[in-house]
Amino acid sequence: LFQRIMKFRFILYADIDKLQHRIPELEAIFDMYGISATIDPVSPDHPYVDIDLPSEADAIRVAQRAVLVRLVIEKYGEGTTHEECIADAAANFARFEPYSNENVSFKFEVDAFGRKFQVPEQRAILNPYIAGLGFKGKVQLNDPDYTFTVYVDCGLPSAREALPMKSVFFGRKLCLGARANWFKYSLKTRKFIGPTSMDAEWAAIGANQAQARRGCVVFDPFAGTGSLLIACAALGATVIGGDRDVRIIRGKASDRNMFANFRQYALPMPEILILDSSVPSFRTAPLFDAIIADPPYGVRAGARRTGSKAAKSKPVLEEHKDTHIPQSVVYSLVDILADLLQLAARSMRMGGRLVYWLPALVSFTEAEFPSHPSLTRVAASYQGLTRNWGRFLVTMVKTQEYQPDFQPIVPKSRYEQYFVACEAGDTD
Amino acid sequence: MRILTHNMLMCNVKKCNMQGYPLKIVPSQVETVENEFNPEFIAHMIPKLDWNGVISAAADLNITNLPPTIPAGAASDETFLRSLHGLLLDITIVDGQLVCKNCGRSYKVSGGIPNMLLNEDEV
Repeated sequence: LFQRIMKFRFILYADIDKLQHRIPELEAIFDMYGISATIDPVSPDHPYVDIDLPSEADAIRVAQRAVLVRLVIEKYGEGTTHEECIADAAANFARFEPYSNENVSFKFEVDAFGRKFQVPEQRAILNPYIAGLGFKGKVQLNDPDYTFTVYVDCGLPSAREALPMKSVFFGRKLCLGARANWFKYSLKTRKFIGPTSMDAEWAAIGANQAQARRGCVVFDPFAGTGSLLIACAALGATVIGGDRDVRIIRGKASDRNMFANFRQYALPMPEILILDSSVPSFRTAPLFDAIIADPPYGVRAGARRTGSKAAKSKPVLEEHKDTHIPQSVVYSLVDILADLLQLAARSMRMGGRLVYWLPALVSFTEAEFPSHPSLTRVAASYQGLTRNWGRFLVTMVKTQEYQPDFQPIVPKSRYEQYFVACEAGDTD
Repeated sequence: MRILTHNMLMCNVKKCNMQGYPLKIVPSQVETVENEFNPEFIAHMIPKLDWNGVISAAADLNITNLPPTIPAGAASDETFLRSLHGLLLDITIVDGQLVCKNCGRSYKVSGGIPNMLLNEDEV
């Protein structure tokens, strides 16, 4: 049976801190929609990725979720010179005949990596394409049926003008990526934020890794001001959040707490619990489709869990029970991660996704990733925050049913040791 | 706290060893707010529910007309899904207590938020 294959070029954003996240995001979205596609990894400075798909609808569906896709083009031709590109496209005329015949309107534009073209230059580039490719439709600059693009690749931007062209491709512009959907969730205009609120775009990237969507239940055990839950809820998920800190949950006033943020964006209200992640509060069952977390890993404003430094703590008197604030002890990063992986293994459905940020020194090695017999790591992308350290966005999928004797393995955190040493003045 | 969430929660006192389920709801203020009915979501939730937990929560709220087991074909029975939606998502326990039937530990619900924190002498 003949199945038509369409060739798409996904133009990617080149934000320096998100380069490693681009391919994992695409893979997560393709997987979520059950669209099989081969996505070849590209080098960090590469501006696009080519993906063959059976339909345009698939490409659009993926792009409309992808924060790190700038736009999608159906590619008809390419070459190292314009002549080569035109000849290549002419050989594929059948692919774009429906979008260029006398019944439709179209326009042409020039786009480029690494430089900009003035209008006369653009015209000079476009004329041979229009003349050489047999366009019969009507040119219409405002709101045409189809837009065709000649995309010139001059490599990385440079201070010098007019870099020579490395290659060029020609195709039909399909749609933009999802970045603009998230502008309205910017922290700058959000009602209630705190020092650890996650930037809206990063939260959206996390929510994509978690495959948050309508019909699924997502839990965030370190919900804080709700940044990650907001992104998941905006994608249609039902969200549940927990936090140990009552003050963060209740906020300063009814219009300055996490619920106010959900109201601001007209999202369905989240379910919120005050809980301590170091003790399991959920039954062992496939409750969640995803767990997403930005664990508190600041060493100075360190994470806390309920506990007492005393070998045997004094019992809380009956008359104080209603108002007693539980004592807390330092909750180490290693313990946080072990509890997080165990929670995911116990209370997530098979195929569910655990997505979390893992702080790491720049010299981090593969062997330092936490692991669990129930979970398989499918993605981990690094974002440098300083010269010495940064964080991984880690995605794990539940691939084995939980067994009572399963335990997480969390190697010592050299990141945590580094900061303890800094505190003690042992390093710079 | 809605019943959907109640269905997931258990007593976290260590000696209960995950036997503290379901928690008894002792409500002092309950609100009912209608939410958008999403049959796919409710159908998707059915296999995740512990039905004894659902019956127990309903009984605590004086709702007693639930079938003893999930009826066959529930996922495509709109009447059933609607009543389940009403129970799981529309009812909110605003204030009250969640009490472990195993150890007697009580967790306070205040302003719709259950406080599952243990005290330092309990961990």
